[in-house]
Amino acid sequence: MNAGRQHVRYVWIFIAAAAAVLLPVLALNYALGVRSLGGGDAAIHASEWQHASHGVTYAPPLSANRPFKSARLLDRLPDINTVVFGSSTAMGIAQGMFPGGMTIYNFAQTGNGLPIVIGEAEFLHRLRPTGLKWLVIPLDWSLGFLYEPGVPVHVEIMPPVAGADHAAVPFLQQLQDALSLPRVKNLLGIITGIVRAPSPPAAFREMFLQEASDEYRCADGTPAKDFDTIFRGTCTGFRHDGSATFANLEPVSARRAGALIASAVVPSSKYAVGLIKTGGEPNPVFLDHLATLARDMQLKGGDVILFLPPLLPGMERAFLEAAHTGGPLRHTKRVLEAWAREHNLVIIDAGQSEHYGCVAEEFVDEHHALPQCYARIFTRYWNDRRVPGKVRAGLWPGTDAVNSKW
Amino acid sequence: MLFNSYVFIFAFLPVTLLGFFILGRYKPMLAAGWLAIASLFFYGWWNPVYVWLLALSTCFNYACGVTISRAGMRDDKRMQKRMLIFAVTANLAVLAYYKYANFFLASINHVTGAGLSFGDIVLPLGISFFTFTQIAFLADTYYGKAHEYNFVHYGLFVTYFPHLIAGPVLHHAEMMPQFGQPATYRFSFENAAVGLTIFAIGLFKKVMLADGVGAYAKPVFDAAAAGVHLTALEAWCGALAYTFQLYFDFSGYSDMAIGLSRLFGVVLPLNFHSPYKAVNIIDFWRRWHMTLSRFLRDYLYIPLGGNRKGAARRYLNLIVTMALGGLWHGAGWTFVLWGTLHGCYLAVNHGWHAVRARFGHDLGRSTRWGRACACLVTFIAVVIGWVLFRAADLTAAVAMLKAMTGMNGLVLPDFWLPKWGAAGQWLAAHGVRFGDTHDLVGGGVVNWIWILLLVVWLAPNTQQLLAAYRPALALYAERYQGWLAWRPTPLYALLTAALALIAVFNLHKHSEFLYFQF
Repeated sequence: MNAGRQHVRYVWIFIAAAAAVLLPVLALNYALGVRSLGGGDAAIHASEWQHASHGVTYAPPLSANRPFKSARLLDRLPDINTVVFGSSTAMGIAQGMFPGGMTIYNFAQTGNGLPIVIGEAEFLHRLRPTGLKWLVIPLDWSLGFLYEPGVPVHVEIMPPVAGADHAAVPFLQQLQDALSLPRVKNLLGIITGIVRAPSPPAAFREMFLQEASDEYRCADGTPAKDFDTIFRGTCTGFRHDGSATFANLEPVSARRAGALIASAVVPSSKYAVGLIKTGGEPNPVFLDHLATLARDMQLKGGDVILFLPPLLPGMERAFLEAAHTGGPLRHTKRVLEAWAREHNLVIIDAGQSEHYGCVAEEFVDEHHALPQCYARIFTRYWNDRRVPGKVRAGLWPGTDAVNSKW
Repeated sequence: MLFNSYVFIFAFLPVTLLGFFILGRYKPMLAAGWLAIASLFFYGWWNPVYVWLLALSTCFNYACGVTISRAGMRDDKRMQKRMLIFAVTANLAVLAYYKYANFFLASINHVTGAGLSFGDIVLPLGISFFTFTQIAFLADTYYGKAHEYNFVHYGLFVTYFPHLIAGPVLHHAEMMPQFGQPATYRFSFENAAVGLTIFAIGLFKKVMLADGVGAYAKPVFDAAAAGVHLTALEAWCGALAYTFQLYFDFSGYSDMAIGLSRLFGVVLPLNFHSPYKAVNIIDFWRRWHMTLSRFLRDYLYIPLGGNRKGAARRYLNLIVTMALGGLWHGAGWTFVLWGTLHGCYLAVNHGWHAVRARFGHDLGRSTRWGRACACLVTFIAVVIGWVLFRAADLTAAVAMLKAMTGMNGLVLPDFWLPKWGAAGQWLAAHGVRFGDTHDLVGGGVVNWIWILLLVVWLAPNTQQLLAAYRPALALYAERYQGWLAWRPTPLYALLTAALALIAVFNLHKHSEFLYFQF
C-alpha cells in the first residue's frame, strides 16, 4: 500500500474508532441524563412515593434538591413543629436528635445561603403562624454565608408543578455531562449490571425506560427507590425526616484530615476568603432578622435554635491559630456572643467538633458532618439544657481555647 | 477557549477546519482570512473585551513594520531606528501596564508604605506571547530579515490560534512563507494523520499526566504557604509532583499546538524537547521553551553584548537576561529570583566549561555514567528552581527548600513500615523514623513520581516518534528510530484513538494550562 493510502486509512480508522465509542456513550448517557439532570416530574413522583412509603429517595439531580424538598416540606408541614434550615452542611440533622414533642423536617438544601434561609424561615412563619414553633438555623461562617452582603431574600416555597420543565441544564451541557468520566464509569457499571442481571431486557428497561428503579430495602430495612440513574441501590437520598443518608460519599480518614485542614486554612481557600475579606464581621441585617424571628417564636412557646456548624476536628483550631484568619474568626465569635446575650439567645458553637467527641471519620469533607457527629452535639446540648443554668444566652458551651484568646 | 475543552474539540476545531479547506479550494487568501477571524473568535471566547487589544496591537505593529521597511528601502536609517524604538517602547509599555503595573506599585508600597494602586487589572491572555512575537517581527524588519508584508498573512501570523495563548514564540520568517504556499490550503491526509496523532498525545499528556500528578503538588505548596512544617519526603514529593505537572502541562500544550497547526498544513517550530534529559543547564535551556530561549538570546542577550565583551560581562549578561526572562513569566519576586537563579546556573555552567577547556578537557567527550550523573545533577538544580517558580511567596519557597534539605526532619509515613516488611524494620532499627505525617504523600504520588521519571528520562518524545514526518521546525532535535517510531498503521490509529478517548472522558475536570498565566 502506498504512503498516501496508508494515511487515508489511518485517518478513517481513527475517526471510526472514536465515533464507535463516543456515539453510543453519548446516546445512552444522554438518555440517562435527561432524567438524572432534573427533567420531567421526578420531584413530584419521588415526593409521592416517600409520602406513601416513608422510605429513602431523592429527585435528581442530587445537587439541586429544592423542588423535591419543597414538595416534601409542604406535605409534612401539618405534622411537624420544627424545621431545620441551611445548606448541605446541615443535612445530617435527623429527627432522633431532638427531644419528644419536637417533630422535625430537615429542609436544608444544597448551596442554601443564610439570606435564603432567613427568607424561607420568615415565609414559613407567615404561612403557619401557630403550628411552627422551632426553627433550627445554622450560622455558617466557614462558607461565608454569615458575611454575605445585602438583605434576606424574599422566598415563597411552592410545590413543583406537574408538566413544568424543571431541567435548568442547557442541551450542550447535557451533552458534555454525557461524556464525562463519572458518567462513562456509571454507564459501564450499568451495562455490566444489565448483562449480569437474570433478565437483561428487564434490567435494561428498568434503567433506560422506567422513570425510577424498582423499590428495594436499605440495610436498616427502610424502603428505598432511586429516581436518579447514578448511585442506584445504595440508599442515597433523603429520609422521611428530610435528613440525608450521605450513602454516596466516603468518610474522611483520620490520616487525610491533616492535609484537608492544611489546604483549608490557606488564605485563598473557600473557607478563608469570606472571613478575611470581611474581617469576620457578620452582616448585621441578618442578625436583626434572626432576632425578630426568635422573638416571634419565643412568644408562641418555641425558639430559634442557632448553631455554628461542626467542622473537621482540628480545623477551627487551625483557623484560630493562623495569622490571617485567627483575628477575624475571634471577631465573629465576639460579635455573635454579644448579640446572642443581648437578645437572650443561645448559639450552639459546634465549630470545634472534637470537643463533642466527633472524629474525622464522622465527616465526608471539611464541613459536612455525618449524623453521628450531629447526634453527639445535640445530645450534649439537650442534656445541658435540662440542667438549670447550664445553658445560658451566648455561645454554648464556650470553649476555653477560644475564650482565652478573646 | 481551551484546547482541552469540549467546545474546542467538537465545535470550534471541526468548523474552523472545514471552513478553511472549503475556502482554500477557491481562494487561499479567503481561507487565511477565515483562520485569522476564527483565531480572534478563539481569543474572544475567554474575554471578548480584549479582542480589541489584540486587533489593535496587530494593526499597530503591522503599520510600524511597514514604515520601518519603507524607510529601509529609502535607506533612511534614522527613521528606521526611531520607528523601531517607538514601536518596541509602545509594545513594552502596554505589556508593562497590563502585567507589571500592580507588581511594581505593590513593591513600592511595600517599601514606602504608600497606598498606590491602579485598581484591578485583568491580564489579557497571551499578551506576553503576542507582544514578543511582534517585537521580534519589528526587529527582523529593522535588520532586513522580514520580506513579506501581506496584511492578512501578518494578521494570521500574530493571531494564529495554535500559538496565540502560550507559544511557541514565532519568527515572521518561519511562518509567512508557509502562509504564502497554495499547498497549505489543500487538505492532506498525511497532515491530518500526523496532526491528529500529535494532538491526541498532547491532550493525553495534559489531561491524564499533568493534571493527574498536579493534584499532589497543590496541597504541599498550600501547606508550606500556611506555615505547616513539612517533612523532607513531603516537600520533595510536592516539588517533584509540580516538576512533572509543569513538564507535562507545557509539553502537552506544545504538542497540541504543533498537532493543531499541522492539521492546517502549517508546521510550527519545536518548543519542547525532553528538557529533563538535559545534561547541564545550557542544554536544559536548549530544550525547555526553546523559542523563548531563542528570543531572549537574539533580542536581549546578544544586544546586551553577549559573550563579546569578556567573561565577566558575559556572565552578567546571562544573569540579567535570565532575570528578565523570569520576570516575563510572572509579575512577582519569586519569578525574578527563579530567573536569576537560572542565570547563575548558566554562568557557573559556562565557567565550568571554560575551566575544563583551560585544562585541556575535550568537552565533546563523555561517558554514559558521566552523562547520567550530569543529568541527575541538572534535574535536581531544575527542581530547586521550580520551587521558587511555584511557591506563593518567598516565605513559602524558603519553607519548602528548608524542608527539602531535611531541616524539618526525615520522617517517613508510618503506614509504609508494614508494607516494607523486613527492610522497613531494618531501616527503623537504623535510625529512620516512621511517624504520622500529614498524608500529603499518600495516594500514590510516589508511584506517579517514579513512573514519570522513567518516562521523561527514557522514553522518546513526540517529535522523535514522528520524526520521519517532520512534525516541527526543529531548532534542535534528535531522530528516534526505535520500534516505537510512529507509522500510519491501523494499530497506531487505534492506539491514538484510545489516547484521545481516554483524554476526552476526563475533560470534565477542566483545568487551564499553567503557561496561560504567563
